[in-house]
Amino acid sequence: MTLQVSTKEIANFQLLFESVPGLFLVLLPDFTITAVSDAYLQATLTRREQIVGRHLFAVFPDNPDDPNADGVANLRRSLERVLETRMPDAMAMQKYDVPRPDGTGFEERYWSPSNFPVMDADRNILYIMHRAEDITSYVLLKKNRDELGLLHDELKKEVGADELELPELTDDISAGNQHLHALNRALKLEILARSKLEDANRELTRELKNNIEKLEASNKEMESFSYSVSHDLRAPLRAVDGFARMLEEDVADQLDEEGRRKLQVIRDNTRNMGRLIDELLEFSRLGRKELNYGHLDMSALAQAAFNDAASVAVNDTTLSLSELPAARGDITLIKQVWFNLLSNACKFSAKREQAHITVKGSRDGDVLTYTVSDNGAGFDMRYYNKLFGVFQRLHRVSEFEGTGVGLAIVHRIVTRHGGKIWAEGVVGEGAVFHFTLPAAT
Amino acid sequence: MNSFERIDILLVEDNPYDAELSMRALQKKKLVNKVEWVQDGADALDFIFSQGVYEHRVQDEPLKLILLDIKLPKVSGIDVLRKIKADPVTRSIPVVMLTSSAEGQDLSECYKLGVNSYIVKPVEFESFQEEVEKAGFYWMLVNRVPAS
Repeated sequence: MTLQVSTKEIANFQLLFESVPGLFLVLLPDFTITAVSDAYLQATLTRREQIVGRHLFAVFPDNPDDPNADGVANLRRSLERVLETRMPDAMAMQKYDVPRPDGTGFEERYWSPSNFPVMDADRNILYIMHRAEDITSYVLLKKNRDELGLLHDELKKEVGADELELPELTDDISAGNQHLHALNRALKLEILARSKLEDANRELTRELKNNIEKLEASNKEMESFSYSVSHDLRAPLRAVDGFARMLEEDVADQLDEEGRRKLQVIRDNTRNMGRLIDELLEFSRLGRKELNYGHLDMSALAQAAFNDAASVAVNDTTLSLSELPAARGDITLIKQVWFNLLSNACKFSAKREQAHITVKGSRDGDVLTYTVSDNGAGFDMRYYNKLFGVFQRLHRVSEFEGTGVGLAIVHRIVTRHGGKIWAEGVVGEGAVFHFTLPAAT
Repeated sequence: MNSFERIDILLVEDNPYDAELSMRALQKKKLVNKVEWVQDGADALDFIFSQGVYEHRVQDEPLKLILLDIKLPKVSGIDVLRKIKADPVTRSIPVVMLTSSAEGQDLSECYKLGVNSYIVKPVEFESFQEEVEKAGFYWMLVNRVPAS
C-alpha cells in the first residue's frame, strides 16, 4: 500500500525555517552560507541573495577600524571545534560588528552565538547550524551603567560618602539575561494587574456616573416639587384668606360675635398653613443650597440675632454674652442658627418675669463649641428624640406657638457644616443647647 | 371692553380669585375702572400689541402698568415679558411680576429681561392687598400723565 500525500499537505519547510523568530544561519562544512532565517538577515543588515552561496567570512569580515576585533578568529575556532567534536559549541559573548549595506563602515554589534552540527545517519556532518542572539542593547545598557558606576565612584570619592548606592551589576551575561527575563515576567504581571485595575476603575467610574445622574435627576425632581408646593399650595390659601377677609369687610355688620370669631379661626389657620409651607420649603432648600464659606464673627452674629429675637418679647429678657471664638461657615445659614436658637430661648422664657439667656463659646483643639442656655420652660428629656425632628413639637400650641421646624433647620445647618448639636432640658427650669463647628485650619 | 375708555393697567392673571383680590386692592385706590384683566399670556400679547381680538383697540396712550403673573396658560409670563421688553414701543411700560413663590430661576430670568419689580403674592390678604396697592400706586404715580 502506497502512502499518497497531497503536495498541499507537505509543509513548506523552507518557508518555515526562514520564518522562525530566532537568528539562524546554515553553513556547509566549508563555511559557505546555504540558508538563513529572515530574522538573521534583519539583525545583520543583509539580504538573502547577497549572502547565500558565499563564504561566511567573506560576508562578515572583522571590522578593520577595530584593532581588537577577534570575531572572525573566535567564530572560526568554534566552527572547527564543531567539525572536530561533532558536538554543539557555545561561544562567549562576541563583539562582531556588521558592515553597513551602504558601505559607510560598521555597526557595533554584540552577539551570544552557538553552533550545532547537523549530521546524517552515519554521523557525517552535512551542515553547521549557527544560532546567534543579538545582545547589543543589553551590552550597551551595561556599558552605560558601568560608566555611570565609574562616575558614581568618582562622586563617592569627591563627597566622601558611602551611602550612595547603585544596584549591583551582574557581570555574567547569562545571569543578566535571566535578570531581564525575570524583569520581563514581572512587567507582564504588572501589566495584567494594571489592566484588571483599570477595568475595575472603569466599572466604578461608570457606577459613580450613574449614581450622580440619578442624584441629579432626583434633585431636579425635588426642586420642581418644591416649586409646585410653594406655588400651587399657596394660591388656594390666599383665596381662602382673602375671601374670608372680604366677607369680614363687606358683611361684618350682619355677623354676630360668634360669626366673626369663626371667620377669624379660618383666617388664623390659613396663615398658619402658609407659614408651614414657607418653613417646609426653607427646610428643603437648606438641603440643596451650596455653602458659601466665609469668616464668621460669632459674637456679633449672636448679639444681632438676640436683638432681633428679643424685640418682640413682652417680658424683660437679658443676655449675657461672653466673647465667642470666630468660626468659618455660611453666614446666612449660621445667622439662621443663632436666630432660631435665641428666638426659641426668648419664646420659651416669655412666661418668666425676668428671663435670662446666656451664650458662651469655647475652643477645644479643632472643635468650636457654642452654648445657648435659658431659664425658660425647658423640655422633658423623655421626648428628646423628637426635639430636632421636622414638625415635632414638645409643647402645646396654646402654651407656645410654632411650627416645629426651627430646630430641624438648625440641626440640618449644623450637620451640613460638619458640626453636632445636642441639648439638655429640665421642665420648668430651662434648656441648654450646644452646637459645634469645625475650627478653621 | 370699552375701546373708548383709556386703560392704564393691564392685569394678567389666570387665577380668578387672585384676580379678584388684586382688583379689589386696586379698587381701593380708585384705579379699578382703568384696569383690563386678561387670563393668559396669549391674550396679554394681543392686548398689548393691539392684535387678534384687540385688533381695534385704540392706543393713543401707552399702558402705565402691567401686572403679570409668571405662571400662565399658553404663553408664560416670562415670554410675555421678553416680548414687551424687546419691542421699542412697549419697552418703557413698567412691568411688575406677580409670583406665588420666590423659588427657582424665574426671578433672576425676569431681572435679566428688565422687569421693573416683582411681588411674591403673600397668603395673607392684608399683605397681598398692600403689595398690589403699593405697586399700582407707585407706578401710576411715576408714570403720571401730564396735567391737561
